[in-house]
Amino acid sequence: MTNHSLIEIEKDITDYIKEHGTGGDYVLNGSTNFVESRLLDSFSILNLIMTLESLHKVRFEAQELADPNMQTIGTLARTIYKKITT
Amino acid sequence: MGALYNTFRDIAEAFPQKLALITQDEAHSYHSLLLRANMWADFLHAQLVDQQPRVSLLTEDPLNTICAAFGIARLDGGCIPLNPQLHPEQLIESWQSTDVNIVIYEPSFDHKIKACSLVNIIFISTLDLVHDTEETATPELPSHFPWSDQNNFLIAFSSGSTGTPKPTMLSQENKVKRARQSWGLYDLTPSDVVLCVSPFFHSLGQRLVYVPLLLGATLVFSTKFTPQIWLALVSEHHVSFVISVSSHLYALKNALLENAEQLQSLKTIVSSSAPIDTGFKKKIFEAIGCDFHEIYGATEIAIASNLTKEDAIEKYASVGIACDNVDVSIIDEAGQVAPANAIGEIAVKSPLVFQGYYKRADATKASFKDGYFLTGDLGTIDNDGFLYYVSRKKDVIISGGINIYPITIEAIIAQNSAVREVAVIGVNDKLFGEAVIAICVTDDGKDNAAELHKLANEHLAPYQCPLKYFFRAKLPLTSTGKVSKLALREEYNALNQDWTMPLRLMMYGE
Repeated sequence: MTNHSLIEIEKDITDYIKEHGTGGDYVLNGSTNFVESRLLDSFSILNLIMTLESLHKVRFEAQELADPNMQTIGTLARTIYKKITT
Repeated sequence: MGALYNTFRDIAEAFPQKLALITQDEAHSYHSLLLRANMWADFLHAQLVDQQPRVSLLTEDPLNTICAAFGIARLDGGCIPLNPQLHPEQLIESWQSTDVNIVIYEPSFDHKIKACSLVNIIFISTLDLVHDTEETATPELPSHFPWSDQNNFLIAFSSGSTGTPKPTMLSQENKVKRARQSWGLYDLTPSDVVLCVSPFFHSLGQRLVYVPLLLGATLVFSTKFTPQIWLALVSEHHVSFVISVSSHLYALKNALLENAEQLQSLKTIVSSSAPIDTGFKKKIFEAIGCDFHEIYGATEIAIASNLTKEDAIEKYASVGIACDNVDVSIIDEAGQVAPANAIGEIAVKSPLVFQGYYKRADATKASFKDGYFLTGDLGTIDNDGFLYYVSRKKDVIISGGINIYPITIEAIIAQNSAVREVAVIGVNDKLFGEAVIAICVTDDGKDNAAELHKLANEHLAPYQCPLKYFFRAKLPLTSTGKVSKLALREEYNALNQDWTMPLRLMMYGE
């Protein structure tokens, strides 16, 4: 499997939020908090996590998911990138 | 104009300045809701003067949704609210099966509309109402229309007893009578404040809109649910009555127990949509000072049974006794009434029964036996007349209170060229009631979960996407050669490692 670049991972997450988000003219960037801003509903958030784990063959730890920073596009992407490159 | 519109208009004229609707941003009086509903009626009638307006709502904003629905009722039209998360092809199929001729949508769903280029449907943005009615003076609407006797006001998609989604018709009179049933069951009055955190396309959302607004009570409507939002709304607006789906109650579990001070305004909590486990129910009963009811019902029959707080002390595993004028029976496999405590299909005879499935006379007929609606659920009745829900007869998955039809998901997954067979099932989940998983047979046992996640994301709504994919050499079969979903459920329930935990961690830090 070819490892994705950080930019590609961030783009995948952003595209997912655009596709499954609640709509509106949101500007999405690395600091966008998709939980707090309620861009995604609960089903969409869970499906995003499951998709990312499967796509990148990674597993998130409980303490990682409980960290509020993981609710931002940038931190989520960096966490995945760190897992697949170390 | 039918019973629902007339009741609402009478209430609005009796309490014009009373607070009717509180949303995230605004508060609206009965007078302003009635005015806006009438604007919608004028606007819609101008679109199709000689035809019954059959209007699908692709809206989330409660003001748009509620006023458009009352406007449709004013015209004796058909109202078909749909989940905006459905994919364009799913929307088109639903519109075609219910003869929709107008779609009202919010600008945020513009991309969905652009993908649904049906020439015989009029698409109206909610912004159009404001622009057009400012410019156009409309003549007085008639009180009766050539289509007024059709009794097919509201259409909700329900699985009924066969497990395939069918358009369930409810008349305006149905909705008024059902609201009256709730007023009586829970001693509701115009001074009550009712909280709704369920979308209008869900039958619970519809019930929670009409129960307060046909009574002169106040509705607090949130399009989003988190325990924090729920607690804040109850506290800020002194909410007195809520009906919650089981997944919300589980999410609220700790909050309910830890924030009793904030919840003093609550008179009644009702649990709906999926039975909650008896251990949790017992804890809630013991912890909450207000009335706590569990109900059993279906879109086709309304509330069939009700468990009061008093009865729950002895019968906490039950969903209560039959409501007034409702007869609940258990039918065995031979089609006979089963004896007490025997498991069989729950059958219900109710004066609140639906009007049938839209243009599905055969399906309607097949859903009844001797005047009883066959629910497709299994249950028992004990010697004291208390009903106990056991499981669904068919394999419809109920996740977060939403009916999910495996066949829809299986059809998408089967599009992957490596997939030979697939079975989609629901496994027990403490957050959603059930979680969707897919078990696949692929060429050479290939694990292509990543491809399947992407495929599902492209074609299915998030609530339909399987959380997990499993791969095996073959699927278990019944004696008649069909895939045994019962065997799969048993096997994968045993493997369940709390698959929705990531969501609880992320959203609630639990």
